[in-house]
Amino acid sequence: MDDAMRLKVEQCSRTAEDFTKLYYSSVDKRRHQLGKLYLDNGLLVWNGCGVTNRDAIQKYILDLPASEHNLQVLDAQPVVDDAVSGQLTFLISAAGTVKFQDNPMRPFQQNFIITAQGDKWKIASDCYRLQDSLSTVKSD
Amino acid sequence: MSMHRNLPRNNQGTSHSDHGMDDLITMKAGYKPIRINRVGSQSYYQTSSYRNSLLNASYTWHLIDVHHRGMYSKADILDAFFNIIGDSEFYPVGYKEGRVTDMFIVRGCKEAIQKLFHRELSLRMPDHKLVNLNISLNAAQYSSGQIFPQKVLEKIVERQFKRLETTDQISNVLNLQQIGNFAEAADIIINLGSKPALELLCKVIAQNHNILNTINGLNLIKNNITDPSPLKEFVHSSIKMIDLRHNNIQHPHQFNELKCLNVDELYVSGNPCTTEMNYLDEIKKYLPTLKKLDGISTEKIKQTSTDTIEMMYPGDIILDDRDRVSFTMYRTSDMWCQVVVEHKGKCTKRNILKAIFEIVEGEFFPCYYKASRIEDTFFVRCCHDQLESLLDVGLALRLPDCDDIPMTLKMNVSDFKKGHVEPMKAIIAALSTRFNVMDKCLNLESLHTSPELKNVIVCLSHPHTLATVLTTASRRFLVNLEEIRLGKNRISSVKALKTLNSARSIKILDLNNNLIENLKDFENIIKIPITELNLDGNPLCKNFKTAGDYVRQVRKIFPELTKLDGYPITKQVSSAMRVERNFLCSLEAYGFVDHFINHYFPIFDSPLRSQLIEMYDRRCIVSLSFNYDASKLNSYTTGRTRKYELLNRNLLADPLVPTPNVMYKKDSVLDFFKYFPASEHDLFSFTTDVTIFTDKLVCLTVSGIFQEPATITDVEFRLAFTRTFLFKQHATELGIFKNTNEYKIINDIIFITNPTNDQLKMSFRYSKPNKTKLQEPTVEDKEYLFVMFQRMTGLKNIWCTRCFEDANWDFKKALEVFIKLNQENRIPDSAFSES
Repeated sequence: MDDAMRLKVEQCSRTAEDFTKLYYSSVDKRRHQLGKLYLDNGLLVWNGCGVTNRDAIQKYILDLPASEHNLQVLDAQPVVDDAVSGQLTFLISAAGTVKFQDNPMRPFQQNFIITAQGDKWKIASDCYRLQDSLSTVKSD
Repeated sequence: MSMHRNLPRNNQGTSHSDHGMDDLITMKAGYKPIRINRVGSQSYYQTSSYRNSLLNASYTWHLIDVHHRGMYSKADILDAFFNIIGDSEFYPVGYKEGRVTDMFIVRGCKEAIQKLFHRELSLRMPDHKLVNLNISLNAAQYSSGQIFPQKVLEKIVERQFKRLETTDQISNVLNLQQIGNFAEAADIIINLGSKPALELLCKVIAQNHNILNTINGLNLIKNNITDPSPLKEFVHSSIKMIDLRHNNIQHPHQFNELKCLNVDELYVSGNPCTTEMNYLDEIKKYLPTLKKLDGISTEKIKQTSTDTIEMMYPGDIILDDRDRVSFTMYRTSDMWCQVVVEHKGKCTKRNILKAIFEIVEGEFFPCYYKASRIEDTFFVRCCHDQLESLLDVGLALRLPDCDDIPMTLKMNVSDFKKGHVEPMKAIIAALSTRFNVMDKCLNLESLHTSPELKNVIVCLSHPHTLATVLTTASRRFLVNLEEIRLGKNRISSVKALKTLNSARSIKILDLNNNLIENLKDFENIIKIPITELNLDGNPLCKNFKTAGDYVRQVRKIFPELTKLDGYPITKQVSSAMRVERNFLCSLEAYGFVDHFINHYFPIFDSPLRSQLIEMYDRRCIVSLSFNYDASKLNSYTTGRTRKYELLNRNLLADPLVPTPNVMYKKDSVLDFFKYFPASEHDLFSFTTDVTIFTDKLVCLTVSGIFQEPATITDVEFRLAFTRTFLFKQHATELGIFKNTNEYKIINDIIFITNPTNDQLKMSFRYSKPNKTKLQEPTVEDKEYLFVMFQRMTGLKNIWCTRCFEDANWDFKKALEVFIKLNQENRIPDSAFSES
């Protein structure tokens, strides 16, 4: 691995740590501010249900019951330049447990594609799944 | 009945195998199997031309594929076939249902196949959509010992002859009720609704003199019989009773040909002909020897059916627009007007009324409807505007599949007298008997069958009539009305339900088995808080892919609902908490995901895993993180997590333990593939989310369960995973195939953890998909390839078929054929679709 790549991976790891800290504290405690973390045309896919645009995402998240996330595993990779037109972009994978109001604690996984916009990191795509979400899907 | 029943059937199970893999049609009833040879057959699709000579050979079977796309049931499909085929012979054999395609074979039914070709190999379904057929002529050889209809019927008749029954003082009754359900008919469809099939049955019975002279009765209940005339075969028999209940005989005059029979008893209830007034009289006219009809002694029949209006005057005859001036003179008349519909036997009462109600607006109650062979008549009063709307369309009824049907109005043919039917009074009387005070329920199911409405037609499918009835009901029963049942009334427009908004006590609404097409029709119609709703059996149910979707959409319009189609539906805490198995940001991604999952994971699980490296970009990045709840380990699994822990790149792990770096470029990924344990992924456990799908970049996240398979020393070890792949565009073929992008994986981020108890329970429940991949393309594959091919080339169907047939269904070869033809300028402009 060349130095430039090594540096990029290190930058990516630090960013992932900072970003997820901000994200999960916002989701659990300052949910009304969460919309700001998404691109205007960002996408949230919550257990297979898609929501586009920052305002709609903000509204969707506000509708969720109160949550308490405990992040346990974090991994991140830089995305090569030419696939994202030179835009600095990272892929983050996060996992841990979550307790939604009146629900038992359950494992969750989430991955983000974040991209630099000015001096801020913004979410282009966010994919959230409760690990055993399917057990709540009625078999059709 | 459940709401699930109405869903498209591809949701009813995924385990249906494809056709084509097994081209041997085996028989349940002991006939010799039939081997299909698709390659040697002549296949036709969306065309009306064919090689006539192929139809003349009676020693061959023809294969028919029905591309219903999961939208229609077997019963719908067979109905559509018999609608086209009419009175020609047609006996489908080996009917196999598939998720998107059904198939069966037929033999020696030249006329029927000609009729199918005449319709360009398409079926018109009840919702007016078309379903395409693929006919392969000469697809199998007939040999002795194989099934044929006469043999099947002989076996049924012989067996039933050994167990003759006794019913209501008649002994030796041959029971042929619902012959489709006999075990002998398991492999073949013999529809007695088609005249040649009934003729064949009668011939089979009549050829055996022993049977003919022994049986006294014949039970033909529920056989879909439309024309009883073949029964005349029994002219010299001992048969005294014929039971034709619950068949599909439309007109009493169809019994005319049975004059020669010497029967004492006939049963016809449950046939459409019994909805006609005086049907008992009419049938008796044709069968003068009859002693009992539907269990009623024929001597009594005379007295029971005299309800009609005596024509006192010839009446002023209105034929067309030229008579408009004289017509307007009757604007204020309160005498009876007779309407004569000269259908000449070309259509049924139901179709006539449907056409009339499509024209008239406002209250219209035909009274004393009398159907006969040449013309139907009825009487109306005090509805000048409605009659005028009939005059406005030239007193002609436009019906599908037949010429316009002329009507004549005879104005003032009789005074209104005491004892004549008064529609509104009859409706009120019917409502009163159908209201149950205890349950606060008004049951209007099949309202037309009410005895109070015997002489007046109250057609609830007519929006204005429905509104009148509902307004009358809500005024009459006020707050005592909590439930209204409107099932089985052929209601298609729900606008009239607006009138229910004034009856605020109504909580339960039952609209089962009507003809409502769209759930959206209910928007802004019903404003009262309905808590129970039944929409089962309406076409709208077919618009939903899943029961969950159906419930959600209905709840949007009826937010207070607690019960739908008889099922309790709990109120959700938050609609945001719902779950879907798969998400696609773009529908185009469907094929991509399907192809990738079914390609990547089987190879990953095979000894050929290293080959996957070809799908990765030169500068690819792969990493793995791992988290296993140690308390879930047992004596079998301890120690088996170590392989994963060594790869674990968890940025939150103890900073003192060195974190492995990402794997960068193909060589290190190849090492990883070799290091990673042998695996089996359960594709049925997968959820997939495509969050980005552009020409340049695709992001796919897959979650599910895999296991390290059991070995001689170890049990299997199950793990849960989530994997996000990023793909970038690798190459674009320009020119005519501008859509064929090739993508390579640039990022692959893997997370592995212990499965939850639910995941363990639900995984690996289905047997593994067959690993031998190299087999004949199935019908479904072919259809998919066909659509892809057409999208890429823009060719019309017939040209696509040509390319594929030249290439023996090899997709790549078919493209080569196309390129070659195109380069040689052998494809005319007209071969391409317009759009």
